[in-house]
Amino acid sequence: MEPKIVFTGPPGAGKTTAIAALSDTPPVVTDVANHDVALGKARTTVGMDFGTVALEGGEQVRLFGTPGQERFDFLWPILVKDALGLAILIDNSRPDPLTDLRLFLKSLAPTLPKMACVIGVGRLEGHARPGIEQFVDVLAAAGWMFPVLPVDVRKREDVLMMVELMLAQAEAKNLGESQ
Amino acid sequence: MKQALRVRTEGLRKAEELSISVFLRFVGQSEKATWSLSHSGEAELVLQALDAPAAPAGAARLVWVADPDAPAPADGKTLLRRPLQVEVFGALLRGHEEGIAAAAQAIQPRAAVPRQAAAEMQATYRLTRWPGDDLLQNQRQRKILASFLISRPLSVAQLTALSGVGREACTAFLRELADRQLLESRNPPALAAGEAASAPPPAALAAGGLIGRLRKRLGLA
Repeated sequence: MEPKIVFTGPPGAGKTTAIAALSDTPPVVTDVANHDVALGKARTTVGMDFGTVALEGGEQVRLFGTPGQERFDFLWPILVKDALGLAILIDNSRPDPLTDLRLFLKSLAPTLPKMACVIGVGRLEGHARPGIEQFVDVLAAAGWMFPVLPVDVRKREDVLMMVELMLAQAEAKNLGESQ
Repeated sequence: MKQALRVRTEGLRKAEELSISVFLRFVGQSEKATWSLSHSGEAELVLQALDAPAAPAGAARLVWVADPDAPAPADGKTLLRRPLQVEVFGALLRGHEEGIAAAAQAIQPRAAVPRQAAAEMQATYRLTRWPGDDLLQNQRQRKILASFLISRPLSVAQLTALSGVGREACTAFLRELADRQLLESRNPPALAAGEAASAPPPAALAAGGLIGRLRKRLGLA
């Protein structure tokens, strides 16, 4: 099975943009016209986004973006299962970003113990609250510890930083399994 | 409340005494104790050269220091091989803190102390909470080091090998994490001496082949 990295998070958090920052080819998107005024954007992903990163020898890493709407929460653990890494993107301009994080932690709980995971918090520049420490507190309260970073998914270096922190966790896990 | 503990050297080389002094700056503090160098009088830990003339009087805990090829002492006490390593020294301090606490509670069988000290030389470290930006300082290297410490406990040697970051920088970062109560240290008793503190074996690095190729492809290597 080809390895995959999954980007998840609520609508508008930047999953499609993050995949586009990494993918060798323009990502395959399954956007439709958005009729939910609260989302504040014309189109939203209802299926999933897909991109690839080709490696030497013909191997490739697949990049998946989950649909963000809560009604699709049954899909999240299916897509995340066996992933090399997971990024949970949070939009800090939404009404309750901490609750958004709790929702994803709860839905993905069965897959998280073995997962290399990073939390990326976007739009902090205009919405400083809640701060990074509060997201760390939410993780701790739920029994998890993952990196929590401010990110701007329009900046490739920010997306790469998330991937790098995933890979560090995955590599340490590999070391544990090999001993 | 932290214990104030002292370490003294006997018969060590000048450079080794200096090393101990520097090591204490990096690994001399933990959640349980603050270690300082004692130049005379009693100490909770005495590091003595194996070829020094006589064992010190009043030493609660004696650790020998010897050349790499020197025979192990017959008394079964812990032995540090030259050259002195900061992570080994740090593990020794953590081990003695545990031993002192256990002795104080009178629950530690005397015969188990050398074995425990040996096991505690294999100290590994794991993050307990993602650090704040005051510690990460928005530095890529610090974020990466912290991430390595999330998945499983790592020795300094393992952290150095995985991250490619120098031992001193790794140790200094661990020290800062420990100061802020963001780190737990462990001494896995099931591991043989030297195993946990060693760098990852080739098999472990091979398991990261895909990760290495992805890093290279994304320009992260």
